[in-house]
Amino acid sequence: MTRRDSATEAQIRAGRPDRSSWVSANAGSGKTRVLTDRVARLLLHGVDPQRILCLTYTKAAAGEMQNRLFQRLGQWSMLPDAALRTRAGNTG
Amino acid sequence: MSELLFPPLADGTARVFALPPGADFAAGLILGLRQRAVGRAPTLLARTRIFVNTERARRRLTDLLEDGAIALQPTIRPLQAVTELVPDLPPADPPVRRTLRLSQLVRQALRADPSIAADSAPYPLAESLAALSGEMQIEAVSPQRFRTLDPENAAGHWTRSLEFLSLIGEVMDDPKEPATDAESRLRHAVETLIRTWAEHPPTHPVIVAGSTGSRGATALLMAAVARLPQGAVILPGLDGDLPASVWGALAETGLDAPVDHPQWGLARICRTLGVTPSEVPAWAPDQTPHPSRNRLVSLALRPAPVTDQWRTDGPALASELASATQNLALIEAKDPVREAQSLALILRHTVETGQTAALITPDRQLARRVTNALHRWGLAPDDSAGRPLDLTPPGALLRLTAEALCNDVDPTRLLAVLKHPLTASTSRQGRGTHLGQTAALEACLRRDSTPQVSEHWLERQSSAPWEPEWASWLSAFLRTCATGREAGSLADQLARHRGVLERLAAGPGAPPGSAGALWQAEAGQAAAQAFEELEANADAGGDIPRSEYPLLLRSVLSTRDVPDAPFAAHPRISIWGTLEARTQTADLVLLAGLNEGIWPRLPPPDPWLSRGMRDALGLPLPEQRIGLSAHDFQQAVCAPRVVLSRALRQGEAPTVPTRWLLRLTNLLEGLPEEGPKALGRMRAAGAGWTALAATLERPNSALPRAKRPAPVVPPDAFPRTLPVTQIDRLIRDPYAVYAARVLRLRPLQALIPEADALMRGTLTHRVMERFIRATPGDLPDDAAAVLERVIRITLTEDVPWPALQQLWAQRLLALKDFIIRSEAERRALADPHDIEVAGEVALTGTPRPFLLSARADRLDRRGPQAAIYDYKGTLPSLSEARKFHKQLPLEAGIALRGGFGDPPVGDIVALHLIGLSGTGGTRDLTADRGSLDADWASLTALISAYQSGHAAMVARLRPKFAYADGDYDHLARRGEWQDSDPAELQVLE
Repeated sequence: MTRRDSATEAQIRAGRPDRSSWVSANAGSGKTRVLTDRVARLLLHGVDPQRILCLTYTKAAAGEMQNRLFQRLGQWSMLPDAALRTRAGNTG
Repeated sequence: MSELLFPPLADGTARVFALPPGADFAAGLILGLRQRAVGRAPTLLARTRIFVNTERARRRLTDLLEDGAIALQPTIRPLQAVTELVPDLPPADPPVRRTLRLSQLVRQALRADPSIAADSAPYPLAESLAALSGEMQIEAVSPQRFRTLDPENAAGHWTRSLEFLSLIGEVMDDPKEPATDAESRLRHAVETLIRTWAEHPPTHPVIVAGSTGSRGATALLMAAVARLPQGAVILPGLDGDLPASVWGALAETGLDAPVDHPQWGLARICRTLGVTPSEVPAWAPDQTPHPSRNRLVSLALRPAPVTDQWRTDGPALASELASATQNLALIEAKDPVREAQSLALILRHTVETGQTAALITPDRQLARRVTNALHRWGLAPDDSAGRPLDLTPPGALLRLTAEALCNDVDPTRLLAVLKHPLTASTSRQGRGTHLGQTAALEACLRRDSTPQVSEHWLERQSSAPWEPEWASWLSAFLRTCATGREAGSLADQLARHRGVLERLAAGPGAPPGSAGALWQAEAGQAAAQAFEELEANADAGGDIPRSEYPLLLRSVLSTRDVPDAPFAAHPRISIWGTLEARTQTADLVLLAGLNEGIWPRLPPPDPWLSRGMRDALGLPLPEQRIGLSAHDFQQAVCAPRVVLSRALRQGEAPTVPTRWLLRLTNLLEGLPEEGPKALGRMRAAGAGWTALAATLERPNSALPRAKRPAPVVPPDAFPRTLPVTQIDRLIRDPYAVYAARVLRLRPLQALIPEADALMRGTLTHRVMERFIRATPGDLPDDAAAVLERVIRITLTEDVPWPALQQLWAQRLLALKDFIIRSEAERRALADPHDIEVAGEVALTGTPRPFLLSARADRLDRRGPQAAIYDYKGTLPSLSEARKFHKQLPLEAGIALRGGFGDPPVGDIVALHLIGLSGTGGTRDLTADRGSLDADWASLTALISAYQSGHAAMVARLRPKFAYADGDYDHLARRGEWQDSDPAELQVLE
C-alpha cells in the first residue's frame, strides 16, 4: 500500500463509520469523496443499504452524491478481486 | 381435418407459451396463430377468443389482421371485457361514486378528529382510499383483514391509519349499496367464469395474451384459461437467457424478494400457472431481433444478489458485444430541452427514410416537448396519451367558474372567465361584441381598480360604453357569484354551477338552454360527460362546504384524459406510454427520459399501509411497479433499433441515470476492451444527434446591439404643452418624455390595486388636504386630535385592506408631531388658500407656442405674498433638490405671472418640499426673484432648443439611480446599451 499524505489520512479518519464527523473544507478538496467513502465503507461492513440515509440541502448535491457513489460501486462491481481489495483498502 | 388448435393437455398441466423480449408482440401472436391453423378449418380461428391486455393492443391486432392473412378473424377483446361473458352482472358504478361516498365518511372523520390528517382536503384523501379499495377488490382482500393485522409491530401512526381504513370497509361492505365498482365487478366476473368453466369448459380456443398477471384477478383468469381444453396463455417478454438458478432466486416471495427485477412478475405467474419459466415454449419461432442483445440485457439486469455473474458470465459475451450494441445509440443530452430536440430530429429522419418510429416515455412533459419540436417541420405524432380534462379549454372554464362561485371575484379571475375562448361562444359575431365589451371593462378596471368586482362597482362605472344587454348579463353573473355561499348539497352546487356556466358560455341575449360551444368537440363532450356523471352521483356526495367544491371538481376532471386529436397525425411516428409499448413495436424505438424518478417513477408514498402490512394482507408491494417498469424497459430495449436517451441535468440538479441504464453502462465499462468500445460507439451515435440539435439552436447571424436612443423630433411634433413635473423628467430622462408625450405611450395600470408607493402618496396628500380643510384659519388647540381623526377616517375610506390600514396608520401617526410643528410655521407665513390648484402660463420667446402647466399641491397666500408647497414621499437631498427639482421654482414662476388666478402673486415667501415619511422633514427651496427668473430663462432656452430641432431626447440623460428602471427603459432597450454609452442621434421626420 502506498504511503498516504496527511490530507488523505484526514479524509480517511473523517470517513470512519463508527464516528461522528464534522467536515469543513475548501471547494474541490474532497468533501463529497469523504461522504461517498463513508457510505462505501458502511456497505463493506455489510450494512443494509435501506438503513443508510444521506441528507443534503439541495437536489443538486443529492444528485451529485448519488452519481459519485454509483460510479464507485459500478467500477468495483467489475474489478478483479485483487484490484478490488486495493481500491476498497484506499477508502480506509 | 382436425378441429383442434392445440394438441390435448396432459392432466393437471397448463398450456403456456411466451414471446421473447424485443419481439413485436402483435405480429408474433398472429404468426403463431396462422402456423397452428394451417390445415385446419377456417372456422376454427373464427371461433377463437383472444383476450389482450389493453384496448390499444386490441386495435393493433385488428389493424394487422386487416391485411387478410386470416380470412375469418378471431374475436379479440381487451381483458376487462371478460365481464361480457358473465350474464346478469349489474352495471358498474363510475369510480366517482365510490370516491364521493368515501369523501363523506372522511369529512366526518376529519371533523371528529382533525389531527388525523391535518390540512388535508377530504376529496383527495378519499381518492387515495378509493384506489386502495380498488386494489383490495382486485386482489380479493376483505376489509375485515385489517383487524387481523398486528398493530403491535406497527408504529403508532400505522395504528391510526388502520382506524381510518375502517372507512373503506363501511363503503365496501355496505349492505344498503353493495359495491359494483369496476374492480369488484371484474373480480366477480372472473370468479363466476371459472365456476362455469369447471362444469362446462368451452371447447373453442381461448387465449390470454400479453398480460403478466400482475393483478390478482388477471392471474386467476390466466390460470383458469391455461387449463381449459383449448385454452392458452401467451406471456410477453419472457427472458429465455436467464439460467435456472436465477429463476430460483426470483421465485422468492416476502419482503426481501427481488420484486423490482423485470422477470419477477413472470416468475410469479409461472408459479401460479404451475410451469417452469425456463421450459416455457416459444409461441412463434425466431421472434428475437437481436439474440445477442437479449443476452447482454439479461445479464445486465440480473437481480442484485447474483450480480457477481457479471464477472463470470460477462467475458463470454465479449465476442458478441459488437452485434449486441449494433443499432443501439445512447443520447446523454445536457438538459431535457436538448434531449427533446435530439429526439425530434431522429423522428424526422425516420420519417424521411420511410420507416416507423415510436417514442416511449412515461414523461409527459418530455413527450410534449418533442411534439412541439416536431411541429417546426409540420409533423404531428400520433400520441397515445391525451391531455387531462382539467387542462383542456372546457375544463379550464369549469375550474375558473367554480372558483368564481366559491371565492371573491377579483379582476384577474373575472377577466380570465370573460376572456376564456368558450365564453359567449354562441356566434362569432356575439363573441366579437363580447370581446370588445370585455376590453372596455378591463380599461375601467385599470382606471378604477377594485379588489373585488361587484354589481355595485359595475353600476358605478357611469361613463362605461356598455351595451345594456351585456351589462345585465354580466350583472347576473356577478350576482350569482356573490350570493349563496353557504354549504349545500353537492347536487345544488352542481345545479348552480351548470346554470352559471351555460349562461356564461351562451353569452348575452342567447336563448335559454343554450350553452354556446361549451359542450362541443371532443374535450367539451368529455367535460359534459364528467359533469353529468357527477350530477348523477351527487347523492353520494352529500353536503359539502362550498370551499371544497372547486377542489373536488378539479380532482374529478384531472382523472380523465381527452385524446389530443391532431388534425392529421403522422402515420409513421407515434408517442407511447410504457403501457402501450408492451404489445407493439416500431422499426425504431426511442426510450426517453431514462433517469431515476422518471423511469422508473418512484413508487408514490403509501399513506395508509406500510410494506409489511401490505405483504401481510397479500397486496402488491410498492416496488412491484418498478419491476413492471423494468419489464417494459427490457422489452423495449431489445427492439430492432433502439435509441436510449436521458438528460444530464434537470433544472439546477444533476440527474441520476435510471438503474437499468447504469447497470448496462457499468457492465460494459467493466468488460475488457470490447465493452468500453461498444459503449463508446453507442455514445458517439447519440452525440451526433445532440450536436445536430445544438446546431439547430444556434442562430445563423448575430443581431447588432441597439444603441442608446436619442431621437431628435421635428419641431411640430414636440409637445405644445407640458406640466412642470415633466420638465424635471425632461432634464433627467428626455427619452421618457418622448415616449410619454410624443409617442403617447403610457404604462398600463395594475389590474388589482397594489399597496405601493403611489397609493401611499395619494393617501398622504388626501390626509393633508382634509386636515387643512378642517383647520382653515389658525391651528386650533386640538389640531393633533383633528389630524389623528383625519388619518383614521382617510385610511378606512381609501385603503381596502384592513391589515394595511393598521400598518399605515402607525406610519402616519409617527408624522403627527412633525406635521403639527411645521404646520404652525407655515401658518405664520401665509394662510392656506388653494389645494391641488391648476395653473398655466404661455412661454414667451420660444420659436413656437408653448404652454407650461402645473398642479400645485398647496398654495398659501397672505395679501400679495404666496407660499407654494409640494408633498413628497421621500425627500431628495438639498443639493439634489436645488439642481433637479425645478417643479417648485417653475410653479413660482407661473404664480408670479398670474397663472394661478387672481389676485396675482407679488412675492414668493416660501417654496418647500415637505417630506411625509419617517418622522418628516422639509427642504427649503425658497429663492429670490433673480434666481426664479434665471430658472424661467433656462426653461425657455431648453424648450426653444427642442422646438428648433437642435436637441435630442436622449435616454437617461441624467439618471438619478444607475440601478433603477424607468417606465420606458425597456422600450429604449436599455441593457443592450449602458448609461455611459454615447447617444446616437436619430433625426426623425
